[in-house]
Amino acid sequence: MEQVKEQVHKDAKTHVGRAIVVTSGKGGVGKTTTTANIGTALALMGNSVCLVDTDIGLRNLDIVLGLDNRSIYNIVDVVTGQCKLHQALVRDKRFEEMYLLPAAQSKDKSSVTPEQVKGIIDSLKLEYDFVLIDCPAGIEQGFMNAIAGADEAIIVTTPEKAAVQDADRIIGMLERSERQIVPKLVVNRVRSHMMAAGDMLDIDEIMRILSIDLLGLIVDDEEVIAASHRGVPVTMNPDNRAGLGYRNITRRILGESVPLLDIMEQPQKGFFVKLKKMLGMK
Amino acid sequence: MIERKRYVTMKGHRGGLAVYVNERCSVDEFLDDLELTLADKSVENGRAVPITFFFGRRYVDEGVVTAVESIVARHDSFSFNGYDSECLTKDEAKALYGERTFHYFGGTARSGHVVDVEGSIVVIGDINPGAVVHATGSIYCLGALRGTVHAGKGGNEQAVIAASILQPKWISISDFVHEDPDDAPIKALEMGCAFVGETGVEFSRLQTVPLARMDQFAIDSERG
Repeated sequence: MEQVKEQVHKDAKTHVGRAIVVTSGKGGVGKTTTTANIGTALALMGNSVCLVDTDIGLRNLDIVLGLDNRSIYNIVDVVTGQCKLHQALVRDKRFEEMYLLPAAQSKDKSSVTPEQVKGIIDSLKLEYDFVLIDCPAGIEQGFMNAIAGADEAIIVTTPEKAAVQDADRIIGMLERSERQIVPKLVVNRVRSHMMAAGDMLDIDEIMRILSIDLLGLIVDDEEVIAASHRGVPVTMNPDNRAGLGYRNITRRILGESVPLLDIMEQPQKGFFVKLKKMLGMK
Repeated sequence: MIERKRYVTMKGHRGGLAVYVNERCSVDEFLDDLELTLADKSVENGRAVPITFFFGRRYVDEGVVTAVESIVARHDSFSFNGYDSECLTKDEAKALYGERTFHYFGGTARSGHVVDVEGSIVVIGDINPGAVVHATGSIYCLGALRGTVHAGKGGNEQAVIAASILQPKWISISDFVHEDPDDAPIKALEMGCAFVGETGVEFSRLQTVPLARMDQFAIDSERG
């Protein structure tokens, strides 16, 4: 039986992988963090993953992953023929099979064309189970580059009107693009008490406006910032709720049905937790 | 006495006189004839009889109408009561056709979409914040209307805007723009309708829309 499973797994790898673009329209809502964490979680669950940073001129994904000191070549070098595609890929040694194709920092978005990016994504899809594309903010050429090779899309938004309106614009553009991609939604930086007080859009309101499938919620957590500061994606921390959110999203991407995190649930602050803390057990 | 050739025919009816004008003669011919005929029929009884002119398949421009009006004005016993013609210019016909066209927009109008139509439009979905829908006629939204809408563009004050949930960011009908005195955002109205009332753009539940405005629904539904 084990042998059969092994065989099936190997066969699955010869299949063409899934290319997923992570986009939002608005800047600063957590595209890069989401890409890094979903990629990490996919790798943790045993998938082969390649992350592609298309934010040429403002590359960040390598920093969030802690790989910034190891990127030598980048996507523009591949396009211009300075190096082979596999030479530009940076392996993340913490995982079995996770690679990063960094963006160039000293060029701009017009250094590559959508067709060239599509070519790269298409060849990566043959080798990896998942190709995650980190999209730059905006709706200009950088966005066009990022979606060119994607089969699926994840929209990241925060519970703010500006972010939701920009997400709406992006959804409209994806739906009416050549490939008619119907994206799925990740709501980032959820603050339950602000939603309850009506100081933020609540989840139902966001879903009513955007009317696409919800992939998951990520609670606002300082640990996310600290994690990207250290270059260790938060989802590698088994106790963190934001990290759990990313792992749940990833399981949903893999086709599992996972109930939504209860955002109202407060972190435990009972007597025993305090006691444990005092005794140094947690 | 030689019998004069007649180019206008008079018929009496309850509301006054109807004058039928020959379709084929020259303008001067029927104006002369009109002058003589009115002179013949003038009576001094103090009350002016209203005349409605029927030009049949003759196209009349403003010059002809003014000439007719001035002839009638010279006779105290008659007054001008309008005219009718079965002819339109192509431009007039196009404008009329545009107004009467009904458009459909399938799906949700998302942020950044701009829809601009001649005639009325039904949006089968939502109009989201950041989307813009303009129409020379009415706007009907089957879902939630939360974007920017302008109905009756070009001056049609009869146009209406109706939605399952009416909560536009900005709303305007004809030349009237809704402006809240306190700058407060518009409250969501279920089964809402906006129309031009005495104070400009007014809101109401569909069930309580004034009957005068309900006519517009009837006209629009005929077109559909």
